[in-house]
Amino acid sequence: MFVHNPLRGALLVFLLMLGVAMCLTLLRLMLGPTTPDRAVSFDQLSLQAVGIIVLVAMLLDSSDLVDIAIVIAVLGFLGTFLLARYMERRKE
Amino acid sequence: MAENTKILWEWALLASAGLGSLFMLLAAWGNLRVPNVIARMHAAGLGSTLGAFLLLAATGVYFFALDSELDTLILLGVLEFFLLLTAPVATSAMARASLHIADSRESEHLILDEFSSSIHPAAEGSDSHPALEYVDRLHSDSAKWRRYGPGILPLWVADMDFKAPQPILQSLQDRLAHGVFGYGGQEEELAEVFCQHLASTYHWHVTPQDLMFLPGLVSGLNVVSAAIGEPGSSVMTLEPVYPPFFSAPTNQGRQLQSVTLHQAMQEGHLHYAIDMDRCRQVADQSTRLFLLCNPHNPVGRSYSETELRAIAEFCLERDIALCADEIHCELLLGDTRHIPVAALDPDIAQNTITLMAPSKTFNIPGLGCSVAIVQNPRLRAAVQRQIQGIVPHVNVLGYAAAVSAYGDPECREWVLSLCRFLTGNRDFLLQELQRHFPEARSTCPEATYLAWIDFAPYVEGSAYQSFLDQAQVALSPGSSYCTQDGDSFVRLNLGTRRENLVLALDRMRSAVVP
Repeated sequence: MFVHNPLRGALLVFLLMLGVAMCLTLLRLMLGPTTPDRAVSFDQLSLQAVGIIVLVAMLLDSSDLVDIAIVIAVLGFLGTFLLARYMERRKE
Repeated sequence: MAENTKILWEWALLASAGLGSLFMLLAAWGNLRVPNVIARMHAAGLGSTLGAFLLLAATGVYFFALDSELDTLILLGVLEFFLLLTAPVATSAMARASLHIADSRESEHLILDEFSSSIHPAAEGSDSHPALEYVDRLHSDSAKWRRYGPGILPLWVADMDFKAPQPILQSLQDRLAHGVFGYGGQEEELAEVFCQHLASTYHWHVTPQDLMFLPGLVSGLNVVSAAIGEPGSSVMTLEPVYPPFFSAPTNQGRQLQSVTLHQAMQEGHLHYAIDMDRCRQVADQSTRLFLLCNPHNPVGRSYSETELRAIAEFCLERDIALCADEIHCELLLGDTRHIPVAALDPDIAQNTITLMAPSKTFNIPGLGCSVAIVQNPRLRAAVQRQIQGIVPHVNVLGYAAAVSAYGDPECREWVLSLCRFLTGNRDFLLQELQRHFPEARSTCPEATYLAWIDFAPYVEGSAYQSFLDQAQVALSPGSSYCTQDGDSFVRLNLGTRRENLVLALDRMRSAVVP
């Protein structure tokens, strides 16, 4: 295992940054005020989840976790896109 | 792997992951802090995608460069490609959806709104009138834009947000370049071109000595109120009407006899007509003057020959002088034709004072130039006595602009294209009102750029106040045009670019729909 301590420490700091980012986005998700605001925040949350998963994959030295990142990215995109279509349809 | 190559890769990994995390954090902060959803999309769509992209690159370095896992690198590559492909699609889809949703539609934040025409089909073509040049007057000396300040969209006082036609601007510039602003004015030249204009447009033949130039139409109304009758005599008018029609007689010590126009729904629009029976009932011995507004501000009527004859003959019969304010006579929408009441026949002309001005037509009200046409020497002398020593002359720039307005054929063309544009704006307004405020009742103005709308089912109390407070749209309060009630009415000025109407209606709709 060649991830020596300074690199591992840095990855933990990055993980913390993403955690803070996720909290900020969750705050926007709660505040809204409109459905599009929440859809945008959802999109951002899914990207942050992808980031967190790959950081954890490096920390645990487990490349299997990358598969999860792919699933989250696909679901995030589909979710955002469907939300957008749904909002447009409902208006009509 | 050589030790220093490995260290290089580790630094690359750190830089990429660090930068990626930083972007993620900034993007989340941006999503929380920027003011509206369209702007927030930049944070989520650009910032977070770039952050994820960099983090994935770092992961690629980790598993391939340091661990030689080719399959993971391929997976990550596919994921990066997928992100690059889907991020713009998702953001565009959300942007489109949010534009379709009223409460998040904040087109004032958009420099260019390419979707406005697909959402509002009639909004297309608002810029297809190259003759009309819209000017952002927010930071100018405009009363309309200054009164309520930034953030409020003003559709109140009756001027337009377009530049005057080029020949007028040119003649003003020439006059300025002359540099001397001594006593003077092109009274003779203006009288000549104006008489020609009346003859060619209305077959109305007046001579230059029938004309009197005044610095404003409101002073005209006051002067005429003072000139006709004596203190205590009465002045009749038809309401709802432009407020100085109420104040001018009162200012001059006259009694006001205001007759309400007959109101009915015609083809789905509010329609006003003169109630002659009521006029006959209200008129008495003291009635000496009739103030007529034609085209009628704010109800948008351009009276027909029959209606005008009825009024004029009633005035002749009762020995009431007729004063016709025809300031909006050239702002004709659709196929409306204007008939100056004095042009109907010589007897009527002898009993009539007509007030006209280039101010509304050419959007130069700030230059203060109006004309009173008085063919009867006795009436003319009475008006002249009131003007003497009190009402100032028209200023040199007012004359310069008016001479070019009536003398230059290019200005005629400009008026035609203006009227086409305003007709389009009127039709657009009515269609959008029908869509978003089906219960509101609006006039379908035949002339003027003013719509008179009753929002009674949508607002309680003053419609003006509700829209000002809740929609940040400044309209003219209906109560000023009526001696009583009128609170649920507003007058809307549609003499602006189409985008401003779209914005105003959006804001008004959001204000009344909870």
